[in-house]
Amino acid sequence: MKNIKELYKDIILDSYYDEAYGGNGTIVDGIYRGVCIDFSKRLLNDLIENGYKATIISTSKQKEDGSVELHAAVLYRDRDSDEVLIADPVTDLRYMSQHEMNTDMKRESLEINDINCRRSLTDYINEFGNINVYNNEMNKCEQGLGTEDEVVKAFFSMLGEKLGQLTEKKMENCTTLTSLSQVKDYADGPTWLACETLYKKGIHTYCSTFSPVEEKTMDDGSIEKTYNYICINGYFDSLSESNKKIFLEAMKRNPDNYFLQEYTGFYGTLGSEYEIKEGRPIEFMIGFKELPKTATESELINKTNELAVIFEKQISLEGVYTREQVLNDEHNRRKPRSSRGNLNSTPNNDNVEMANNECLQYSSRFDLFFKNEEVKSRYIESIYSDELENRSENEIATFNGVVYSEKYKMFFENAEELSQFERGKESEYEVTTKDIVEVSQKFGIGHKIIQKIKELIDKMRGVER
Amino acid sequence: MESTFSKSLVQVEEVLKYLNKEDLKKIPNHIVNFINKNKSKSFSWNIDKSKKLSEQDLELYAVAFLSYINLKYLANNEQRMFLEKLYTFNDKKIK
Repeated sequence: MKNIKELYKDIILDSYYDEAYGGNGTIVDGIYRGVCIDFSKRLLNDLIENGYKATIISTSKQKEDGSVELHAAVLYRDRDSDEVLIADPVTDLRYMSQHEMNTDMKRESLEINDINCRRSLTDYINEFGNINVYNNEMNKCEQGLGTEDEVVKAFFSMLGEKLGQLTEKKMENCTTLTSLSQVKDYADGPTWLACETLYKKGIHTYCSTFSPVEEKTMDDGSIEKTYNYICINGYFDSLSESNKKIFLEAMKRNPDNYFLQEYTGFYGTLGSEYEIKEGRPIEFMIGFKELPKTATESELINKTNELAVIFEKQISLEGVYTREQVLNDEHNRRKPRSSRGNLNSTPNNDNVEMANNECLQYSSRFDLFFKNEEVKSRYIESIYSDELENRSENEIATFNGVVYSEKYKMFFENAEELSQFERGKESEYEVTTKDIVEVSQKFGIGHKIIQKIKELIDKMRGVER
Repeated sequence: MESTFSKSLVQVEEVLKYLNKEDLKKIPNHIVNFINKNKSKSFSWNIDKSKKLSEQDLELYAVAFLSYINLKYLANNEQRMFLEKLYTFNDKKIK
C-alpha cells in the first residue's frame, strides 16, 4: 500500500490544472465548484483504496474585490501519526500551471515537498476560511467550521460515528443544455443574447461570466456599476473548420474581444497569452476585457451579441466523434490527467464494442459516437433546425423522423431510445427534505393542518395503547 | 367510499419510498404503522419520476403529512427553525 506522500505525488505528476477542464467540475447546490473537487476526489479515492480514512472539504472565501474564491481539498487521518490533516493538491497544481510546468518533462524533475500534502487544519482555515466537511457521497455536509476541533469532530462524524448538524447538498454534474429556452436561465447577466445566438448557430459554450466589480449609489439614489469583464467560453475543437477560421481572423482584428485558452487562472478570466496543446488550441473565449463605466445593460447585451453574430451556423460538434477520432483517443483529450493511453479499444473492435469500451454511445444512423444523450440531442437539433427556426421542436422532429420529448426538452433518434433514457432517469429519482419543503410551500402548509395530522396520529396511538 | 385522507396516505407511503435510507431510518415505526393501517386499500398511486415532488398531483393531506414527518423527524435544528417560521407565516397568510 502506498503512503500519502506517494499518492499525493502520483496525483500531482499526472494532472493538469487549467481552464480547459471546466466541464469536469461539479455543481454543489447550484454553484459551480470547478475542478478543485475533481482533483480532490481523485486523491480521496486513492487514499481510501490505500487504507486511509478521508473525506472532501470545501471553502468559500470572500476576496477584497468582492469575488469569492472557491477551493476544495482532502481531509484525512494520517496512518502513522493519527493526526487529522489536509492534503491540498489543487494549490500545487495551480502553482505549476501558473509557472508553465504543464509538461511532463518539467514535472519529472520536480521535488514534491510535504507542505501541501500535510497541512495543519488551523493553517488551512487561516488561508482559505471556514471549512465545509462532506461525506464521501458529497450529499451531506457540516458547514462553516472555523476551528480545528470542529473540523476534527465533523471528520469523525462523516466516517459514520455520531453525526452533527448535517445539511443536505444537491450534487450535479455539469450538463449540456438541450434547449434554447434553457439558455437564458444559465447565461450570466448580459451574455444571454450572445449565448442564445451561439446556441442557434450550433456552437457549444460551457461557461459565461459577467463580472461587475463596483457599485456606487448616486445622489438620485440610482446605482452606477463599473464592470470588469464579460466572457463566454467554449472549446475550440467544437467549432467547425469554417468557424475556426472566422474566430482566428476575428482574433487578429480584435485581440481584445476574441481570445484563445490562457494557461493560468480561473474560469471566465480573460488573458492575452494562450496555450496550444499538441498544436491545437483548447479553448476559445469571446468577451470584453474592460467594459465602459457608463454602459447600460442593454448596451452590454447588444455589444456582446455583436461578437457572436459573426459565426456561421454549424453542426453541433461538442462531444461528437468519428470512429477515427475515438481510435485517436480524442474523447479523452480534455481529461484533467496528463497521461494519455486511456484508450480501451483497438481497430479490431466493432463500433458497438468500441462505444461500450469507451463509455460512449454509438449511432448507426449517423455513424458517429456521442459523449452522452444530451450531446446527441444537440447534434440532432443542429442538423435538422435552421438558425432562424419558426417550427416547434415537435414539428422539426416529425418532419425528420426523430422524436422530441417535451419532458426532457431533448431530441432522440427514436421512441425506443427515449424510453431507455426515461428508464435511466427513473432509477435516479430521489425525494429530499428540500423537495418536501418546496411542496409544503406550494400548498401553503401551516401549523394548523400539521397539528391536525399530529392529533390523528396521537389519537390512533392512544387507541392502540 | 375511501376518504381523501386514506388516499393521501397511499401517496405518502409512495413518496417515502424515494427518501434516502438515512432519512428513512429516522421515521419511527409508529408512523409507518399508522400509514399502513389507515391507508386506502383500493386506491393506488405512483410517483411520476419525470416530475419534481412539487409537480406531482399530491393531495393536501399528503403534503401536510409529509410536512409533519419532515418537521418532526427529518429536519435538523436549523431547518426546523426555518420551517417553524414558514408554517407560522403560512397560517397568517391564510387568514
